[in-house]
Amino acid sequence: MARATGYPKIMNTDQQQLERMVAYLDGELSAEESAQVEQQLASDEQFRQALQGAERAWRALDDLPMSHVGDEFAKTTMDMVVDAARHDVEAKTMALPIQQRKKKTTTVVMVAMAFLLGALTFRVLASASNRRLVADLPVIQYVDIYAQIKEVSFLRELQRGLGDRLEASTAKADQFSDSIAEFQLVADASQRASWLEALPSEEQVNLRAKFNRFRDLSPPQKEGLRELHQQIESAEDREQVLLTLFRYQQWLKELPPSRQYEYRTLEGGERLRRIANELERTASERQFELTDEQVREVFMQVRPQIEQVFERNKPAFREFYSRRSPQEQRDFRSLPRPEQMKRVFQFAMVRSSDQMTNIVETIAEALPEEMVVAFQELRPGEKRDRVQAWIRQFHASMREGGRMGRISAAELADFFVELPTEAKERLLARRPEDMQRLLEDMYRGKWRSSRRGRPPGMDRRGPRDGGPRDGGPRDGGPRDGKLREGGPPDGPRRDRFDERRGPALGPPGGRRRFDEDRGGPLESGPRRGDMRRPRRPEGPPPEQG
Amino acid sequence: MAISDSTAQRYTAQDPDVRLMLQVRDDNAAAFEELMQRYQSRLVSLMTHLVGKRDMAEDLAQDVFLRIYRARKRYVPGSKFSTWMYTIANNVASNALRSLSRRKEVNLVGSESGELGGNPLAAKALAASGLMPTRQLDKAELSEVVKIAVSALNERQRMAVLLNKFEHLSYEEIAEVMNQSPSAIKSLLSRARANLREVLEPYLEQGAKV
Repeated sequence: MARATGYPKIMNTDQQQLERMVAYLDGELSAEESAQVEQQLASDEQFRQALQGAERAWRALDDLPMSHVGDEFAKTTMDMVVDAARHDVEAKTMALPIQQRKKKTTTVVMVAMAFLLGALTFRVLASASNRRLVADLPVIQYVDIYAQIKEVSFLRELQRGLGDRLEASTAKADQFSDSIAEFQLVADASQRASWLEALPSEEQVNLRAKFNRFRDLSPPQKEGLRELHQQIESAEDREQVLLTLFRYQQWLKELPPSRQYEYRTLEGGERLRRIANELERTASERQFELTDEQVREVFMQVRPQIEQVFERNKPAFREFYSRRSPQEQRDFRSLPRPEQMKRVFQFAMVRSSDQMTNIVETIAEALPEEMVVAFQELRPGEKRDRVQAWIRQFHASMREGGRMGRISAAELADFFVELPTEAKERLLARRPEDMQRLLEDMYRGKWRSSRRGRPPGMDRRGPRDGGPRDGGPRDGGPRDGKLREGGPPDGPRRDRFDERRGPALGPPGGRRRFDEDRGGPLESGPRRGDMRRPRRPEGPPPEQG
Repeated sequence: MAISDSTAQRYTAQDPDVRLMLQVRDDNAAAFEELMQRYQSRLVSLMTHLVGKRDMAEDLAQDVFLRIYRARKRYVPGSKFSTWMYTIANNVASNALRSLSRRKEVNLVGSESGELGGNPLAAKALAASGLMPTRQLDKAELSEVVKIAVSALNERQRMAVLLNKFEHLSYEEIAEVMNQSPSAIKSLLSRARANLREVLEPYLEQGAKV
């Protein structure tokens, strides 16, 4: 026989009454309503029992198992939050293995990274369990350069064998005095807290990134870096060791990340040999460095001769090009201009080395005085290589906005900060390399628009009648081929350069040829709509149709 | 709806967690970690009872803290900090449960109508657990019964019960968290408690083993 339940069912109780009962239990009734309920409780046995039953069931929930999380949850959650912020920062900055100090960082980046510094400071200073982290602060601060060298003996050998050349490639000794002073400060355990608190915002950004890189190292790697720091700190010739360290760091920063990695993997003598070669090469290159403006001056002076070379070779280009497969033709058209230029010159050189020699000699005559002698001392092959490098620089500077030349990171950073939020978000959603390219395009577009009265970022059309020229005045200008303020000389309009497509294809369709052009060799590129990535074609360049 | 200065000031003055969150807004990581320490266990408990899986509950709780971090710059104290946080938690849990139900991973899904009367799914779960009210249960077993009873509520009832019971949120606060009116919450809680009583009553009559 079923046992009668001790508490009356509330299935048939008025819903309103039920709500009032529960609200009374939860203390949600007004004084007047509570009084009504209490009156009913006093007079209605069934109601009283129903309420007691409800209350008993509610109390039973106290037996519900509750979760407890330990420190690991907090740690992983903080790591996740920090990673999220780091991801935001990495997406917004163009990081190198050895971070270049930026003069300015965007507001968005600073907002993200200020939080991270707080996390770092909190972890470093506040918790007893992070004493190891405090002790590692010097290693963290120099993690990037320390990771490049294994032992302090390398620095001594570097100084002994290549000290002079390294010094010639980097700043003077007194310009590293601040770095050395900072090292002493960070190395002193009693000074670390105040050093950390006084760190400028931008340095906070860098330190946080270094902390993450250090954290990701394996325990043996970390131990290796700690030992290295100990060696440096206790070295009798510490001042010289530090000077070599910071010189080496500055020199390495200028190299591409792949080269930095390559040096890190080399051992002792081989590494020094490679560094020696690199120093010699960069010293030689520095000797022949031209600014963008100088390179344009040089090529404007030799433009007539270059035009002659290409006029003479055009039939040969055309014939060769027509014999290539459609794919190869498309591939060549999609190449960036500097690469096409290189192919064109190679073709001209293959056909007649005299043509190239003439160009090289003509260019030599147009060089700055201080460079002419050194240039003439180069071997013929070296001269051609140097000229081709200048040609690439020339076209890169023309592509990048004419008189503007290359846009510095500082200019881009300033421009980015001033953009509307929506534009920033669109850029930040891109990959870093795309973001930089688009930002440069917008910056150039702004510069050109400011000269034409069009809003920035709206200048993405192709050729059009009366369209403006890169860097040239809208209302026309001198046509004598000389560089003027305002950019290259006026000439026929050029297609808007789209790095994805390469320069515009030559005719048909109104596309430009060299002989109509502003001074470069034949332009080519995929037709509008052909979005293939540029590929390096094999063999000499095909002729432009 | 814009929050008035007086409202913001009131909550800033009254709620220490609001003051902590304002420090988080100013990029104080220590304040963020303090808030996390205060709420992490409660949040994980809430999520565990909502989704039924501990590891998923931890992930969801971390998601809530991440959202708090991301929203820190826009934070204006228009309510108690816990109310704001549980609003985020409710959204996160709802999304998760919706995803789970699409994948048919939810074993106990309470009726949306929340009708009074025995919950067949709860009865089924209890039967499957072997915890029938024919004998006295020990504390652990009773705890399991309560857990099943709560999990048998529908999502909205469960959330309202947990917020009311363990987080001591008022009807008005729960209404804000769940984007309902206070009267709707009143109705929701009454049905939930009626359902709980129906399921738990037989076990409570037996009492727990001492």
